[in-house]
Formats: sequence, C-alpha cells, structure tokens
Amino acid sequence: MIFSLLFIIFALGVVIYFVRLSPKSFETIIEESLRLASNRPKPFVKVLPTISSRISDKVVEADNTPVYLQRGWVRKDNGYHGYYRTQYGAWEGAIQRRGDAFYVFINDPPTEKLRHHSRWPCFRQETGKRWRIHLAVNPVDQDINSIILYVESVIRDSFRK
Amino acid sequence: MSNGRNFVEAEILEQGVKRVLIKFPGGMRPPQQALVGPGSTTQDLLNHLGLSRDYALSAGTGDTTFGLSEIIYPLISDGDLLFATSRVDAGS
Repeated sequence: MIFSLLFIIFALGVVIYFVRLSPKSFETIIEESLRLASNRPKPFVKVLPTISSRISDKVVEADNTPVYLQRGWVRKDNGYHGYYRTQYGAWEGAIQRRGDAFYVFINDPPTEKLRHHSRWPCFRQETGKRWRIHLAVNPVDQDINSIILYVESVIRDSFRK
Repeated sequence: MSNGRNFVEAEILEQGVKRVLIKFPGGMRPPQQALVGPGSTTQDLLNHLGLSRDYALSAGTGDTTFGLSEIIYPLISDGDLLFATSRVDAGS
C-alpha cells in the first residue's frame, strides 16, 4: 500500500516535471529560432539618388533616350512603326494599342528560326508577310518600349537555339 | 559630392557591395544607381526601386531576365548595366 502510494507520488512528480519542462523547451526553441532569424543579415540594397543630381561636369550622363526613339520607331496612324533590331538582323514591325491591349506585328519574321522557340505558337500569320504576335501579358505601364525589347529578345533567343 | 563618393567606395570595400546602373527603357524615369549586397534578390531590388512584381530586371537580353526570387548578387558584376522593364509575354 505504501509502495503504491510512493509510486503514485513518484509518477505524478515525473508527469509534473515533464509537463513543466516540455512547454519551456518548446518556448526555448521558438525563442532561439527567432533570435537566429533576427540575427540573419538582411540583404543590403540601396538605391542612390538620381544620377543627374549627383553628377559632376566631368562625368558623362547616362543616355535616357527611350528605346523606341533609339530604334527609329515613329508614331503613325493609330500605332508605332519601326524595326525590331538585333545583331542577327532587323525586321519591320508595328505596335497598335487597343484599349489596354497591344497588337504586335512583325513583317516577314525569321520563321525557320522562330519555329523552334517556345513562343512560336503565339505567332499567327495574318496577311501576306504580316504576322501578329499575340501577347498574354501586356505591359502594366502601357510602355511600348518593353514590347519592342521583348520581341527583339525572342528573335535573339531563336537564333541562339 | 566627394563625400558621397567616398561613402559608396567604403561600403563596397567593406561589404563586397556591387554598384549597378538601372535604366528604364521608356525614358520616363532617369537611370538610377543602386548598391546590391550579398544575398539580395531581384525582388529586393525592385522593392527598393518602388516597382511591383509586374516589372522585370534583365541585363538587356531576354535570356538574362532574372527571376523574381533569384539571388541576383552572384549574377552581376560591379558596374553592370541592368534594365527594368514592365513584364511582357507572348501567349495564345
């Protein structure tokens, strides 16, 4: 009887010990993790003020001409006309805006190269040598320069494959 | 001006920070210089530029467009020119 009572007291002591210890250990682990996480160095990124405000007379200012002007694109009718220019050649094209969507065209594209590109199914022949490139993602800021650069990158990629 | 310059150079020496010039092809925003430290992702840089996930950073060509969560630091060199463009993709 006494042994049973002692055993019960001992068992209760063990249970109380572990019940108290376990949450404490868990809290310790959490605290340790948070401490380590907060100690992890955050990546350093800093954007400096606009160059033009920091530049001296001896430094050449970075060219800020829009891409469509650099490429010689002109605004005509209801869109822009010009050439997609790459080191592999230049292809005449046009970009028309209809609402929030852009209609992108290219004349006589390098189909032999493009047909191996993952975006080839998005090229649809319209009339004669005129092809349309269907855009699934239009530039959020309605910037045609992004479209010109994108088409040029697709052409470049197709020649590199 | 010279103080600012010395400040940048000291940071580069101490932390291995790389300087990049970011251009905006639309010309609506002047080019900006940024300092990029180890472990920085494309998203970190875009956030500091005030650009959303609708923008992409590249080294100028389609195959050099950096992934949003990609750690950009080892992929660039000090003095590199990067382009921030709005995301465009073809699809049917």
